[in-house]
Amino acid sequence: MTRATPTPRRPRAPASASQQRLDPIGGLAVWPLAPVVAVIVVTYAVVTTASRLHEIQIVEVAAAAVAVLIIAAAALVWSARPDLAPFTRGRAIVIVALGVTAHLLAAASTWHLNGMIQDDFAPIGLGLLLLALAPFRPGKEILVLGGSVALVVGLTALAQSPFLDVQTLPLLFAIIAMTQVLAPTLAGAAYSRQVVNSIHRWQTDARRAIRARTEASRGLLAQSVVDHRLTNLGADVLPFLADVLDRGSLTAADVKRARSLAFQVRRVLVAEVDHTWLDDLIDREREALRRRGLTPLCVIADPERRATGFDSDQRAAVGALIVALCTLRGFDPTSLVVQIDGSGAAPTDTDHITQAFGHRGARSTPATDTMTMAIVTAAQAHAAAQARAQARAQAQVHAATTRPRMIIDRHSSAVLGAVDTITIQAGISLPSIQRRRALRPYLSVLRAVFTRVRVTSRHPLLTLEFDAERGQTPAPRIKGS
Amino acid sequence: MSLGLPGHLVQQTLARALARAAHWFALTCLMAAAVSVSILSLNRSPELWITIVVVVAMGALLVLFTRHRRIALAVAYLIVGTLGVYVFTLTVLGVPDVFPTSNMYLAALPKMALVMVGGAGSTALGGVLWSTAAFLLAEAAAFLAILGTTVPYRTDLFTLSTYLVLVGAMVLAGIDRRVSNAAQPAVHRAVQEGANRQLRDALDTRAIALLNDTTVAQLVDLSLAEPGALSPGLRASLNYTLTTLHDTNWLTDIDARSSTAPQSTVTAQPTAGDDWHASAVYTAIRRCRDRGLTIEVTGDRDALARLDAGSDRDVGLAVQQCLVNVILHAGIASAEVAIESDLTTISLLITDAGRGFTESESASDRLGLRQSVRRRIEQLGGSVLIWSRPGAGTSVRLTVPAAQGQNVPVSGRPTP
Repeated sequence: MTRATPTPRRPRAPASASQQRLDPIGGLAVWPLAPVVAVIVVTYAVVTTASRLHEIQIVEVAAAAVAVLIIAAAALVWSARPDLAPFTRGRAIVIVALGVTAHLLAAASTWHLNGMIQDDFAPIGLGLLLLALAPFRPGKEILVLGGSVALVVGLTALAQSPFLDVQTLPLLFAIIAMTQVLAPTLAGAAYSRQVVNSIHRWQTDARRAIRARTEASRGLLAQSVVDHRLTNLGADVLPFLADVLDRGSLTAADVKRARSLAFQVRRVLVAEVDHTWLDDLIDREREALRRRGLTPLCVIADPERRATGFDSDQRAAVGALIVALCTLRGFDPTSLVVQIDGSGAAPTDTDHITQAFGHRGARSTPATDTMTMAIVTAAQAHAAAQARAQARAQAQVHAATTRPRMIIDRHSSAVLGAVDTITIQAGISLPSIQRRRALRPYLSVLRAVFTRVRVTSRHPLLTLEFDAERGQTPAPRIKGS
Repeated sequence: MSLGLPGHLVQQTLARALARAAHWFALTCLMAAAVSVSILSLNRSPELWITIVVVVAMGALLVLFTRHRRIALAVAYLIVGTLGVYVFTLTVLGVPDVFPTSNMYLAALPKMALVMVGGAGSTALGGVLWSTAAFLLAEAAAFLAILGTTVPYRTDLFTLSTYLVLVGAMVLAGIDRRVSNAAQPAVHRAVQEGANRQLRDALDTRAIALLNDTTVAQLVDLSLAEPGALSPGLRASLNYTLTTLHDTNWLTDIDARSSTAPQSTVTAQPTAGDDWHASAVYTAIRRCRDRGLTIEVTGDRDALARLDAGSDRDVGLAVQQCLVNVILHAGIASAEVAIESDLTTISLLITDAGRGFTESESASDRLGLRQSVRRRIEQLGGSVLIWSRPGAGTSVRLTVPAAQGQNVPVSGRPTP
């Protein structure tokens, strides 16, 4: 009897996931929720305060309460602005803290004179502010914030209960006040969780489909790579090798030709190794522009090959943006410049080479392909064995003693700011409103995967600048011997 | 993450999320109502027990409806909820000398819970219709109930505002306000192209490494050889190069071999010596010995059996490249390969006492180290460390992950 293969569990969405982070373009569509809620909260606070003037003991404190709530609402609108995405935890805490301050001020302003808890504007306002966090913050965080706020609101209600017009059990007032906060909190948290799970499920399926499609084309891709490589190898190399094998002997001319071919092939391969995904992308766009009958002039300045340090999401975001720029009406095909520079170590291939047992200033020894092997005499062999043992011992000592330092150095350099800054410039002759509208979704995706996205415009030149922080990938740790 | 929801899933997803939010709002209201009337019933008005029953009944139906989302359950919730609102309002507001007017938040709790049935709609319009029906029924039931009490009627703004907020949210979610319908597919295309490019890069990396191992190495060998008859070693390696490039589909063959299981998991356990002789590292060492290099092997040779076929092949090719570098660049005819292992990794230290090199030199002539060694090992999830200094030799440490070893031998133990 065969056992059924268990269905793999879907990976859970990360705890920090929110609708805005997982689906930045969708996040754009829900952002108007923030100003709408802000208007409701402020209007309700002003109207309620104005209609309960007889209950207010200290007018200045009441005015301060409304003012602080207005600041909280303004902070919500500011934090939710798409051009300032992502909405961070710090912003959420500030908004809620301002709301709680407004609540305490409002309670102080009506102390002893408050008629009914249910008319207080602050608990409902706080509840609505928490509800408005739903598209921007994870459900658990909304729950924690809402729970804390409900506790404060409940305690304030208990403290006010002896002075209220309605005389009943104090606990009821606490329940009423807390429900005004908890109901929207739970609703917001449930919305956030449901949307995040749905998007995450879709992303998992979509990525699986992308992987499957990619794997399906593996054979064709492999064949095209082989064909490309053999073409690049040049028409002469393989016939030359076959000819030498057939003849079974070498001439001086063969040796000379082999040296020349080795140099040529190596040069081609090194050039190809230096090619990055960004070069490929720009090559393709250049070709697409040519097909449209244009004469493109696209410049890439990435001397340190920092593009290789970008992850797949960052590559996709940049790719989609560049494609969008190139296909935008009014795009000047001679204006595209992509530049990557930054601070911290670039992802180079030589950064691991360590001058382990010497000084960097030591005289270098030329090492070329044409170097002939030394004739090793018995005495030299003995000396070499000694030197090799010494080299190996030194390498092991170095590995054992300096490895932690290397790991710390590389890690701390990442933390301290291994940042790649990518700058994209393009000339686009479009009214700024149209240009902004066309690029807004791409910018929202950029903001989800890069930090500090800056957009500057001097018509018709548009400049986009954003940072990629490397250091998410842990430094490779090597087991000690 | 760049892969947002495609247009056709947006409405459905948002409707579901709103329904979930509405149901939790309603459940919170019902729980608050149940707790409140329970406290009142225990401490002051025992006749309120009936309200606990109707609130619990509403809660139970809501939970059922949340789980199964059937129209029949929505209708049942609407009917039971309307009756519940009537009974709740009549009983709670009927408690003497507690509530001055009808617009009490406590009395509004079951009404707000009833309005939240709007989450049942799978579209914005459907949701609005359900909510409107619930709002009208709740208000009518409450109005009738209030008539039966002595408290004066006041408009309940809590339920009205809850209804308006819910309807507003449903309308907002129902309108496809996506700024650009082209952006999301463009991002999807970019992700797909990125995946294709990544695969192509991986294949290219292998292809370049193989060309460097075979063609370039072969041409260099010929350029270093003396004119005259080919040596048997040179003839064999020429034959190997041409066969590899001409008669096999290198990349596809590599993939096919890579998919085989780790050597350590095969049922027929080979002997220790077999493992070593079957490994690609041994083949690489043998090839380089054929080319005149004296290689001393120390350490735990059998640990190589823990590598799967693909890793074994790539580690072998990387070791071969390191040894070829010794032949070509070190100016010395001897090297040492030390194999070490621990529970999760295997390390190979290739050491020579030759010329060594500097960072600046390697940058201009780095194809072998970069492509045939580093990228290969990094593609296996391993790492490469190189120590070198002009005149003091070179040590290259390749570390690759391996299947868990059962008996981890002492590292660096010399083997006979």
